[in-house]
Amino acid sequence: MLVLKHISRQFGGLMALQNVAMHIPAGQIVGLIGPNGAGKTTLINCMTGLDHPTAGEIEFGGTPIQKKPAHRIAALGMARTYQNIRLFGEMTVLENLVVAQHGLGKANLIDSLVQTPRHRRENERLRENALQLLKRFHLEQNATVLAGNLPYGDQRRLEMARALATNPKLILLDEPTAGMNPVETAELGEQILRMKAEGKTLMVVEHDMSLIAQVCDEIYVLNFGQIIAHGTHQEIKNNPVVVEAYLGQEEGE
Amino acid sequence: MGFVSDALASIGLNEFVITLMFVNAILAMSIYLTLYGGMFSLANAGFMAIGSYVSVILTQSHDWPFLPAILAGMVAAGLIAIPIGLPVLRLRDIYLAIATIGFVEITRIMILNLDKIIAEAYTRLHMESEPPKITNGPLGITGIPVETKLEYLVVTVIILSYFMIRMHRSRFGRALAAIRQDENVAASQGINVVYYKNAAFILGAMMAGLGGGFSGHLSRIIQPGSYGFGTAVDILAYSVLGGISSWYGPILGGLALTALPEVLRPLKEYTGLINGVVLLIFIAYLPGGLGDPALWRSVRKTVGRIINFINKGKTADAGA
Repeated sequence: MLVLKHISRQFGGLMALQNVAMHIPAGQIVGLIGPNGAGKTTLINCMTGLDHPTAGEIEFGGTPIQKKPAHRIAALGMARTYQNIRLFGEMTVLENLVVAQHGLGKANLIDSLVQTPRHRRENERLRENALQLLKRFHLEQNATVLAGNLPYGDQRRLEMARALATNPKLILLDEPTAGMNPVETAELGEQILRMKAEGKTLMVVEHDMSLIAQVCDEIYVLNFGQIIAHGTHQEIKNNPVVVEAYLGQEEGE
Repeated sequence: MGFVSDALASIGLNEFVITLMFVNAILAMSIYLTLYGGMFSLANAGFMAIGSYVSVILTQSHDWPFLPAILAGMVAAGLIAIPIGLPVLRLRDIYLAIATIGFVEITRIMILNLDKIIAEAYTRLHMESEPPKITNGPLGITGIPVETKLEYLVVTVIILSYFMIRMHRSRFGRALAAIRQDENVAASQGINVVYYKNAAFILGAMMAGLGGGFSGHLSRIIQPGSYGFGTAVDILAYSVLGGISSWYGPILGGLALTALPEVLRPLKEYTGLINGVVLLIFIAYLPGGLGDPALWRSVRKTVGRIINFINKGKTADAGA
């Protein structure tokens, strides 16, 4: 589904990503872990077109996307959530999900000005989709609340719903459990597995190893902008290089 | 009707002032469109100048009828907005404001020197004929007959209001609102940010051009000096005073800010001072502007309470 070849991203003298190679197979959940500052968010930004790699290639479903702008990549079927929640705070919960489906609509300004049947049908359809997503994420009683006024856990869920609203093939979740309690984390894990069961491909960037263990088929470990390990949860857990990256080197005795 | 216009005239609002109020309401709406998409652009004074000069030159030197000339000025402003918007709209916030002020000044200076430039070109190219006078430099174009009527403006404001209301509930308007709130997230949701920003910028430019055409055929004289930094700030002030939390805010702002100095005119030398104080009070105590929906809700509530109170008093009287 998504293949990264020799991806590097340089900010001046800083190599944020160095020769990263990854493969996210269709229908699987891939985990990406790494200490703070390892380059995880930079990597996601390069995948989604908010940033572009200085070298290397990214193929999404066979199409090279490393130079495409974000809205084109979204149209190809990629969606994401954000580490620090970034909802449209001045819009209601429902409006957030309607505007999220922008790419699925076709109505232009003229359609809206003369209220063509296309405009009306489309508005109706987008609203219907949005309401279904609200139900799925247990947000229906908050449909008319401004997104900025939602409690934290609901905001997280709304972000996930918004990512799903574009009907994507691949969803990138950037630290979805940040600030959640264990019960909410477990519930989130269920939602992620449900998306997989529906045929979506996912990448989860996380610190919470319990979620990674619960949902991921395979895991990549990033440190100082390089992939230092790749394997199943068991393999990663016992890999001395990974343990060292997280806990530091053991003092020689 | 006569009674109403007499009453308005008695507080300084004669027909000319009221017409000007509606012209400025159109200009306020033009900047609202870019602000709605999160763009702090002050370019609209420049587009107003283009609309004004193009339409006046067409009616005065080429004998065009009023309406087609006004529309031509509007289209000209929109066309010039295309090459301006593409590079400039990459900037944000105060940087965009500075760049667009630059555009306003360039436009003004171009209009100021256009005849000189053409004359220079004629001598360089050894052309025999007399170079044409188009903008007439700092003196401007004078003796323009007044063709802008209040009725035209009211109709225009109604059409633009309809446009705004529909725009808010359209896919186009939703995309602009999303871009205003978080450009990167909007892009990740599949919204073509560059396209929508430029489209809003061009539409705003066309509205400003239209307002310029009307103002050019209202003031009898147009000069490059009327379309500089001060005008850019005035247009911004209309939308700030009116508030940008609703589409009708800028209209109220444009109407009120144009009327205010006229109403205060009996104060003579204190007019400017009181005008400034009133503005300060509004901005300090009504940050949402005149068009803030919350303000109108509370006004309605208060009025309702007063009516209730009066009614209760009446029933109490009737009982006694």
